[in-house]
Amino acid sequence: MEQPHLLFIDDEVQYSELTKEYLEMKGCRVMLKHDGQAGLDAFKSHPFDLCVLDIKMPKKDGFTLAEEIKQIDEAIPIIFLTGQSLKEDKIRGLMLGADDYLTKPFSMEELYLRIRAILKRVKVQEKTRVCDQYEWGQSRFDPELRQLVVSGETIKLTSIEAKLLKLFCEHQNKVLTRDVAMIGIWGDEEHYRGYSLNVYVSKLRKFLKADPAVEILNLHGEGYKLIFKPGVAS
Amino acid sequence: MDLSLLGNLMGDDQQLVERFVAIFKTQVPGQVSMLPELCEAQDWEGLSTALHSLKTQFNYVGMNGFAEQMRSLEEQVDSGQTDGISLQIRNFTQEFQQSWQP
Repeated sequence: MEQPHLLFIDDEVQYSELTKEYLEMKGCRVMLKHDGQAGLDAFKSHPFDLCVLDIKMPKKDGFTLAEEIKQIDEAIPIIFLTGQSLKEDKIRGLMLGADDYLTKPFSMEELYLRIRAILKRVKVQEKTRVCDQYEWGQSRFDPELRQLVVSGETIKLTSIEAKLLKLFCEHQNKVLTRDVAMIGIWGDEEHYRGYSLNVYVSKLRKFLKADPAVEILNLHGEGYKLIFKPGVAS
Repeated sequence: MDLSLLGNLMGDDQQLVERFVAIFKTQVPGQVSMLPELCEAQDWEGLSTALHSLKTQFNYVGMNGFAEQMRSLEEQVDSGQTDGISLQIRNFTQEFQQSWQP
């Protein structure tokens, strides 16, 4: 991961602004927000590699925010910033799937090292998964070969179709927001292609039509959801 | 102020420490002056969040007495013991203003 993109949410403006600068100096891209709701809005509209969440914040606390973030992307790593010696905070954070926690006041270097360690671990997991194929119902998808097999018929996907289907697979049974999809495919926000996205979703629907175990739902105002239906005949 | 902790946390980067202190001096008095207003409005959630934030900031600059007061007030607000809180906040605000030398 060359330049990890971090979402950092902390209401302590002074220290967090300087921490952001420190992390940027270390090569990270950092989006900083000062309350939970602003953090959630940012998460919905940009792809991130890791979130750093303070627990006690205005508008939405870190625990609630983490739950909502995990509903959108279950795999996103989260580091909690906890108050001094609040053991119950640490336990609750870990129960919510946090990858690590730091007690305030925290050292900027320690935060950076923990971020780096988690991202390194995630990268190893991703490398292992690169070789994987996605399988469901009567279908199999190989992102590397851009090959989709539905009910025995092999379909060669274009690069964009494959990227989109991979994003759907990574967000299976979860919301894939339009912004995350578009940035994931085209990267640059200035080159959003909302209309094209609809076209590509329609194409994937057509390809997958023969497989009753899978469906792409429209979620009005949010994006899409790829539903894998367990138990549907293979 | 005792800036040794802040220095450690910032990897002894003197520039960062100085910038933090400059921002601290600009913003913290304003945050402290908000406390009585939050108390009067009985915005307990907002008050608790403000106390929590001030607690950490006082800790960063080694103002441990103030940090301890913030911790105690936050604990009272969080546990719903808000009866005598208004007076305590007023006392703290006065103490802070008297001892504050920007």
